[in-house]
Amino acid sequence: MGEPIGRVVVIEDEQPVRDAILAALRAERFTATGFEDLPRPADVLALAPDLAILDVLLPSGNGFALARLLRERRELPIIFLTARDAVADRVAGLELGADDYLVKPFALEELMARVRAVLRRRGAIPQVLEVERVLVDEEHGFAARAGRELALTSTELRLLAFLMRHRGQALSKDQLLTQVWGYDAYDHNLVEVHISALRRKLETNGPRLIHTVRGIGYRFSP
Amino acid sequence: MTGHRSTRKRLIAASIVGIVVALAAFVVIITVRYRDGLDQRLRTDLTSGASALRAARTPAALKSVIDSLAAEDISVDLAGITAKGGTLQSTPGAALLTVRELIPVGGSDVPATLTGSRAGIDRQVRSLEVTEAALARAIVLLDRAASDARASEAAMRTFLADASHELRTPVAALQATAERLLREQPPRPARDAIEAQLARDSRRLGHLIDDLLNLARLEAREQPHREPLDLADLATTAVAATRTTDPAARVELVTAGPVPATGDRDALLRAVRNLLDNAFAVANTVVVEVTQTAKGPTMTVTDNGPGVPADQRERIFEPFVRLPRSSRAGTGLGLAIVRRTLESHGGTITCDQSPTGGARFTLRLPADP
Repeated sequence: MGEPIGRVVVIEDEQPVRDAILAALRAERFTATGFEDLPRPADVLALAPDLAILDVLLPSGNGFALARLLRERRELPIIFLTARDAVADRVAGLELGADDYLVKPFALEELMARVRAVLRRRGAIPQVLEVERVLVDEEHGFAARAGRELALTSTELRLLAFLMRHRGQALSKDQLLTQVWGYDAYDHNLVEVHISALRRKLETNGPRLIHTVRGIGYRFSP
Repeated sequence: MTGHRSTRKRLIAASIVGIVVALAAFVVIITVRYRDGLDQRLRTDLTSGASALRAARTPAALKSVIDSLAAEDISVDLAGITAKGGTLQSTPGAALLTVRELIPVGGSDVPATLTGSRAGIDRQVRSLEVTEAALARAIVLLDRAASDARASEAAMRTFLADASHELRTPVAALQATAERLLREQPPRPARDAIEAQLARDSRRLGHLIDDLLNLARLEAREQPHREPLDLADLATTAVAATRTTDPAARVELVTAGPVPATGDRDALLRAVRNLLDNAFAVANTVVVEVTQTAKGPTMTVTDNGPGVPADQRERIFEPFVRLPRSSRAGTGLGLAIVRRTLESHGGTITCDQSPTGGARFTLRLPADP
């Protein structure tokens, strides 16, 4: 459960945004360091990061310039954040070999999904999520329990992965709804229906793992 | 095969002939139209010449009218009074158009013939050439107006891109902070801090929307509401408001009695308050001075901050231009609103340096008419 996985550097001048990203990264057990303005490239590289999340417009300069300096020294995946969505900016970011590009405002879970995808590709985190002999491979849409494949829909797979990543925590229906379905879904019923389907499929093959937490929601634990 | 080919050749030849005939007809029609237009103008000239003759009651007046018509290449043949009338010649072989009139001379009607000459036509052609030159000038002016319009459209596009960037930033902060609350479910003191952050970001977004609306209103309204006002009194109100919101603010007001001016009091008050907010963002002491000068009612706002670099003193009035050291709390629209407000009043706002190195803003309204 406590295996150290992935070091991420966050360079973002908007304090609320930086704090939220750092908190989300740390909640998933990443080692995360924040900078509020352009750091010296050496200060970033000294942290031996697996990934940098870089705001394009910083008080003392342009994030693209830092990206260029970092990449001159070593190959480092970068996710750019920007409040501009002009095509020119996208092209400039991608020409530098940005691994990804996210326009503000963005959903934290979307950023986290991209962070995980980049880190999995680099081998900084395992390709598959495995807890209590339940195995989920998000990239390939595959899930199994005790060696037997589970026929899950893509929503069930995302829901199961979210529960497993936050194993041991009590998660409310609102948390699950917003982080798994996004911000256009408002119906708690959606969560209940999918949880019961997921339980049915999981429990053909072992004891209950998704527990009801009264007055709050659900928790994934043995 | 050959039969087909010759049929095709004939068809092509017929088409070419058809096109040539159509083109020739087109040229003829255009030429005739052009000529008709000129003839029509000559006829009008002749008719007005005839009425001038009719109006000339005495032989002396008649003579001067005839002379002036001759100067315009219109010849007059006035039967019977040639001897009395003086110089009357016809231009042989140049007759193009004639107008016959009965001209009352000495109590009886005398038949007169006015003839427009080839020179008259030429003169019309020249006037057409003048018209054409005027049209060419108009096209140049139109082109310039079109490129001005394109430039202002480009400026509008830049403004919209900047505005959307400025709006996205606080919205991103709001969304990230709200999600953090949702994901972390933090306990009490931490939760309060995060909720306070939400409230601050909402406020920041509110200010930005207010300023965008203010600027849009200024752009949309050509003429500001005009009322007589006292600029010294307006400065007193602005300074008092600053002291209320920030009791620690050291602001001094220098006036020597009322300074009458004309303008929109609310808009000007907002502009002066923007100048004060702007000053206190980088300085802790501000002096406001209001005087009546030869150039009109004038206000200076001088601070003890770091000043504005010379090459930035115009740029800072553009929307969303911030100096590197300025706080990020402002909307970036305050000075743009000040400038638009003054421009709509026919006044000016400029920035230079105070003797002690701080920034000095000089606001000038037009002298009362």
